[in-house]
Amino acid sequence: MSNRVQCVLCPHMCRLDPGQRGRCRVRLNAEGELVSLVYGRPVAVHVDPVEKKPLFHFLPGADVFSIATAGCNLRCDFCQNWEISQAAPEDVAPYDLSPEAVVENAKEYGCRAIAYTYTEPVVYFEYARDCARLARDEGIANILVTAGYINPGPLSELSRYIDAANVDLKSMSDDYYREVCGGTLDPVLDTIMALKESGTWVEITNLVVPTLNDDAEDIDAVSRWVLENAGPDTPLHFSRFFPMYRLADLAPTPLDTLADARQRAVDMGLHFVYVGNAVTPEGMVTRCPACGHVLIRRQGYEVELTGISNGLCDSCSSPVAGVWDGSED
Amino acid sequence: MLLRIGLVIASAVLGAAGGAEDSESAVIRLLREFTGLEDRPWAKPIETVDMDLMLELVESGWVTFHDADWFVVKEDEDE
Repeated sequence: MSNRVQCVLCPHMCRLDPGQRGRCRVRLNAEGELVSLVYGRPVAVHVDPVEKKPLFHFLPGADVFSIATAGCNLRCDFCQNWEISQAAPEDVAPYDLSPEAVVENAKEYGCRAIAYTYTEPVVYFEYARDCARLARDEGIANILVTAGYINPGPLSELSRYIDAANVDLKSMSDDYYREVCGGTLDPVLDTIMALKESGTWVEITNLVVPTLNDDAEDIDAVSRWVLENAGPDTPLHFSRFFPMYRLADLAPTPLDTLADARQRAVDMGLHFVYVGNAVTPEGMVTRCPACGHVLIRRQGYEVELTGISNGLCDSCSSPVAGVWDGSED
Repeated sequence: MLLRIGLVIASAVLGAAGGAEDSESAVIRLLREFTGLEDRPWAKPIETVDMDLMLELVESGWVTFHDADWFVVKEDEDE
């Protein structure tokens, strides 16, 4: 017996000899058994507004108990949380927080949802799943903020408990995924579609990185895929890059680039297109796709529901895609 | 390929490739690629850990050895 194992959680399918850990750095072959090094050991624990995930069409204004362990199965050069996502678990001091404690904390802080976020929840699959299962029993929603680099089987198991997800769609170029992120494109697209089909509320984020994926062709490719596959009601967030990690020498994304990206996506036919990490006109405003009435205004993480009630436009009574208080979703 | 490895080693020595760590990992990556040990040279590498350290960290509660799901045992004949 070689005691060799193969992790089949994500598309990397790491084959591990005893003493080796996967590319995520948190799943180890311990004498022929795969173990998670980070179960119940989050390194980031915060209460955030749901808008920070970002989710703009899911219980707006709700507080979300947000956790992350060390580790990620990608290695994006622009990672905005690289201190924990690219760290090995032995390098970051963890909290000791069982799934039961996560749910208790969420209740204590009045959070309506728990978010598995900041790093990559796929790599702490068992911990996220167990938290989510308990949360569901307690009437607390679950939010997955992910790059979507996971195999279909585990995703199906996890998505049973997930109410909403924000999935990064970093580019429509497989070369970009390989060269800049250390992954591949197709599994991410499959994840988005599988989440949609499972009934999870899905929003998509595209980080616009100057010189790497910011030309009109890149922007249009992302918008077109979302429009034609996820549908026009799927919110798309163009997020501003700030110099970080291996791209510390790049300038932040110009505001004009983001505003232009948003306008192009709206012109293409997407109903809800936002700009994140930046203030631009209309970048954080939700309008009714049917009549143009302003439904929600946001400033920072402050939310004003000015024109929507029970998931319906106050002006024309059209239903607005999303999960709202009082709606039947 | 040998020329590429030579160039990367040279750049590591001269510190001209954006930092010693990047150059070192580039060399390791190229060697893996060259020897066929790495089937995903563009991804993060698979690492061998110090098991004694890991066991100490488990003992102290810093990390866990929690049973993971979604893996298969590779029999010798699978290799």
